[in-house]
Amino acid sequence: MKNTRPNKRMKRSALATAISMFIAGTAYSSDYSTRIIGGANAPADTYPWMVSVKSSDDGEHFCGASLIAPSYVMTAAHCVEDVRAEDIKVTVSEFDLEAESNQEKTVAIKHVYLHESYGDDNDIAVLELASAINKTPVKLAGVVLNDSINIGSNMTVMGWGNQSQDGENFPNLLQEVQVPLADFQQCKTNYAGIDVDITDNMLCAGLVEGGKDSCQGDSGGPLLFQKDSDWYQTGIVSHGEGCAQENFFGVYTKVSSYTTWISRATSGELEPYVADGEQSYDDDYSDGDYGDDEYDEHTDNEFDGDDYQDEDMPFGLPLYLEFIATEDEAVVEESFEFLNETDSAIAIQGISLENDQHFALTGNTCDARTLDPEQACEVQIAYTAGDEEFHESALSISLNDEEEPLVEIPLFGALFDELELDDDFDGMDGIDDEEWFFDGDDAWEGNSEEGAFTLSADAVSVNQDAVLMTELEGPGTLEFEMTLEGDVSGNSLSFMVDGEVVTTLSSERAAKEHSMELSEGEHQVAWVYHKAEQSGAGAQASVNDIEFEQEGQDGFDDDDFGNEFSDEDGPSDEEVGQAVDTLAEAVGGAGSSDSLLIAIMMLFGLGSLLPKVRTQRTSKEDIS
Amino acid sequence: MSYQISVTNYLFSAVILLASSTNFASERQAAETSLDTVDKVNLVALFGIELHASHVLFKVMSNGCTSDKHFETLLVSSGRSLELGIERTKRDRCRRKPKLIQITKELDYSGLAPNLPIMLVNPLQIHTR
Repeated sequence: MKNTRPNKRMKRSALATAISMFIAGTAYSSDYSTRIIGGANAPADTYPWMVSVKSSDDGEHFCGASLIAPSYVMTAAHCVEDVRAEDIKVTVSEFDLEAESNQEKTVAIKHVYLHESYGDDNDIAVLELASAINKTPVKLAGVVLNDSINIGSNMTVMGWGNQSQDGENFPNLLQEVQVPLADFQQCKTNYAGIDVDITDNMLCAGLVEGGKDSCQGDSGGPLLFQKDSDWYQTGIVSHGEGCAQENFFGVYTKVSSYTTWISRATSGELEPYVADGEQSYDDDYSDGDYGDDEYDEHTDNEFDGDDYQDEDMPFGLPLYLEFIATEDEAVVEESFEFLNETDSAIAIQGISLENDQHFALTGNTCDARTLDPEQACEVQIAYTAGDEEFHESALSISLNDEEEPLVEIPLFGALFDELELDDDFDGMDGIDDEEWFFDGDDAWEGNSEEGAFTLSADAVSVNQDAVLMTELEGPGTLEFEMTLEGDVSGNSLSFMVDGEVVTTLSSERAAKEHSMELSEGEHQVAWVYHKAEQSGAGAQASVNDIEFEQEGQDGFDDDDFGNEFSDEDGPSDEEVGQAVDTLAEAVGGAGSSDSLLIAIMMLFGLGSLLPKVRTQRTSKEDIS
Repeated sequence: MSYQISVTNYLFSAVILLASSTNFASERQAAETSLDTVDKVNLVALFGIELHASHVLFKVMSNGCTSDKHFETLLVSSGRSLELGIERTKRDRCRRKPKLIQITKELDYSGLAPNLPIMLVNPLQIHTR
């Protein structure tokens, strides 16, 4: 039986981690200077799978890598060609090359697996660690995900490589920069002009005009694509004409071309690489502190292009129901349908609510019903907000089904505030201006002049959070810029998706452009200002240039909105208004205002209870 | 016969290779004439060189994709001396942190007068890291 209750403790624990990250913030030092090439300091201790490959002799970093399983890191073949395993070591969860932290762990290399066809292609190698590392490995992009990434989609590359295009300036702190996926044919053509072959096993990323790129010292490091709050490695830093040069993108080994090879390398099917002069030696390394039993075998999931899919509830049921009440709307209703998606009839023996005066069944066509295959019924629940900000309950459905005798749906209700924006507010594109909410101190406001959401730190009390939130319907691309100015380092501005921290700014002056893909379904996105200590005078957080482009909805000419708007004539104000309403409905959907609940739940330490919502389209034959 | 120039470890002991030349200016002019066909851009900076009777060892900077097969040695006569050029035939566009590596190339003296002083036309560079 799939029962959501037993998972709560586990999810709370996971959430506690996310919350502690977001509460504590992360050390972020941005001085707007040139990094990697055109990048910035990465947030400290944020990428547990980031690896520095170093010389065993002097500990000097020379390449990047990524942890792909507890005992394996992946890098570029050219980093380890002609290198003996005993001559190198790796530091996992590295951030500052000059300072040791309690996050990082340095281990020796047991075996090197170099791609057997490495030459001008196949620039990939896997290093087997002398002992397993208890850190989160990066997920590898499979073919499905890789092929779904559009040209121009931002990816992130990181490393300790040269920051200068015409000299040498190697940083100690991990650097990161966003680079868009380049048109493969354009990249291939440009490089053909200098007799460099770009193969189908490569990816290109960067700007046509140059200025942002990986560089010498970054080789072997990951090129990453962020989908929701998860990072997927799509590429390995390999080569390029100069660094950040106009018309010459960075070239990366395409990870999805090597999923089988990686699986073989990490399962002992390949012969270890023996460099010239290297003695093949016995496996005399200890197994380290971690036995295989303590780890899941990641390879199966990592190489599954579907591993970013969330779990489904049976019968088309929602994983949870959230209710957001406001002062103007103290009673809100939500409904869901139960679809018999099995091949046989199912009897619903009873539907009951946990005793809670704030939730009530207001509609129920399911109780004591027997549903034939493909038949559906509907349940409606009302939530009445009270003086308390948050209420939790659960709905139980008893069935005569052996596999699913009892299904429970958590219910969450909260009283939130709607952010009222001026009519002329123009700080976002693709998001309805009635779908913004806030919680905590009343500090966020829409600044019409600046076209941004701004927060004055003075308006937030110490040890309080101010949440700005909305809900978006994926798939689509969200872009924005977030800035923290004039604040002390202990305070932070975090961006969260579905209750998980994606990125954090914490510095006297820090700014970041961010772009990420949202998968299909509803997503709660939030910017959370946390005030740990008294701010400096005039300290301010802001979020601006927010743009959300739903996949398949380019303006208003998508089929979902009809084709009534002529490109030649342009839509009238009335037509635009109607379309915006339609778009808002599509974006928000039922219960769209519920997004604010997530913030409250996060503040109450309950955010991780909320799984990612997946919109399930059922073809109901009969709702009676 | 073995001539050496070592510029690694911040030491530059370039003494020997051109020491036997008594007329450097004229030799250089000759070298430029005789190696006109060499693309000077491809004459890599050397961080050390060791000359043997049959081969030459030299140190160059590598970004991870540099090997012996990416170089050619050019040895030509310019009257009272031989001129040696070491040309990179393929650029190293990889993105490993640069490191010094040693390359070995055979020298082809066929058709050249033996025992002539050898002039190196590549630039020499000190390793500063």
